[in-house]
Amino acid sequence: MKYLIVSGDSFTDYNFRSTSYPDMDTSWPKWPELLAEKLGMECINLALCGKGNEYIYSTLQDQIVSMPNKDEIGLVIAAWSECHRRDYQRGGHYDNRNQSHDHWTNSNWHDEKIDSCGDLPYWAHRSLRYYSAFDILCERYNLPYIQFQMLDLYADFLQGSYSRGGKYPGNDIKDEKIVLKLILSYDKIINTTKFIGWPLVFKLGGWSLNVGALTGDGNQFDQEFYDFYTISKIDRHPNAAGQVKLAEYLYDWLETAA
Amino acid sequence: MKYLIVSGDSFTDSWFESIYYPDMDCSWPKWPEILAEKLGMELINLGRGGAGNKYIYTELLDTIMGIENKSEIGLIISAWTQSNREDYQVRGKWHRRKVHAHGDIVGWVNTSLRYYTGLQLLCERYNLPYYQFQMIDFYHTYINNFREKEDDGFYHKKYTGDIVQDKNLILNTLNAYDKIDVNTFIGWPITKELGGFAMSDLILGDRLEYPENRIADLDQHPNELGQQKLAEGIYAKINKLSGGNI
Repeated sequence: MKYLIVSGDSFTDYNFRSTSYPDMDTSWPKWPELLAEKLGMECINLALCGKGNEYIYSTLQDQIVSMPNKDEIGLVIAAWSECHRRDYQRGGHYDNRNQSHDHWTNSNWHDEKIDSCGDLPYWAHRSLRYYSAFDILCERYNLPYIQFQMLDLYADFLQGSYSRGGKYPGNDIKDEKIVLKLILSYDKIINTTKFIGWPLVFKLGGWSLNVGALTGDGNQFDQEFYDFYTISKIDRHPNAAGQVKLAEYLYDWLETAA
Repeated sequence: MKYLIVSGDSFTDSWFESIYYPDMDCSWPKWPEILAEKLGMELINLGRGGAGNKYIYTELLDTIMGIENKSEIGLIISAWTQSNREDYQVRGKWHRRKVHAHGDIVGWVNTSLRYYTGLQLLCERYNLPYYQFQMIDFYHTYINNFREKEDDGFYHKKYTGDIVQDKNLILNTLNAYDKIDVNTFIGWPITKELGGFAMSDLILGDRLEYPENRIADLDQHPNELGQQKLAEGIYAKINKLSGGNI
């Protein structure tokens, strides 16, 4: 049986827990496991809550490069997160066995919600470089792969959701223009046929998967649809039905692409 | 004429200036320029003083991906630096820190190793000729009481971790790291303890034994002679490894 290798953030984490509802049983199957079952593959899910794109790329590179027989890899999926998150490592001890449904036990990865170094255009550019590096990694070994933006790349940060007083710490219009231009400049660099929802953001005609799959058809926002597939209005993580929906969306996309 | 694309830190920077001797004229040819001439290639030198490994990798990635016709690339050389350095951009300009704001030396070593592997993957993906090496030490300076500039001069900062334990962790990490192509990484596994070397140590020699290759005791950067020797030494290494095919 071949491996489906996936990395991402809380939307993809096998052990997801709701911070809004800490007592909630959230042990429903997550999309990587559901998709692996549909594809007849064994799942290696590297995703962890709160992690950013450095973590996602790094865990995929570490995992893929360390597998001696690349023929065992059936599909690789990167479910990218918000660009302003920062990941870093401490210490050298981790258990990288990555058995099916296992996690990085004693993970030495840590994160900051907002990177204390740099600015939004840099964080967006850094993410785009990871997306390009992920292309290179998979093409180098001729591996089947797809990638997508699971959460919007920068919208929450631009809207000031994480800032004191709810304001973006800069010129939001100017900075967004820079970011949009950067994304478009990657049209020639990224293999867009493998990137679901490219060019990432609604303003450019792209979308992130949580919107594309959980709120309608990618262009039409349907509030009822969104409420049905997410935990609640204060926790917009996918619920059990939402995880099934994500897996079906991806399976259909893969079927169509094939 | 094909491109020689090089990235690195102050040892590689065409515009290197000594912070200890700000009035010194340091405009002597640096090893990438001398090497490009020897190889008959046009140089793209991305090396910058103070740069960390993120900068070195990122600039190579951006430059290589920006060249549409990859057959124009004759050779890529990455001259890696200390793992403790951090790079980031603000308004498109690179900024640097001597020491990362987060994490620890063992984590930074892992991060750097990922860049080394990332460069290898990039070059293999496009079938580009490349070599990489550790130009200066990887972690020793940081662990052995790091020297940092303060407003009132220079001082030695004491390492706050457990030196023996962390050094062992780093050596174990390097020893177990089997993802590097040793045919293209000159001096792998990087440190003397494991039988590897940093290029500047190998070619310029011990600073006390061979002071003629360095600016001064206070500034250990290569002087004109040192840069010449680096170019010759690197040329000899890549010539041997490539069987004269570069």
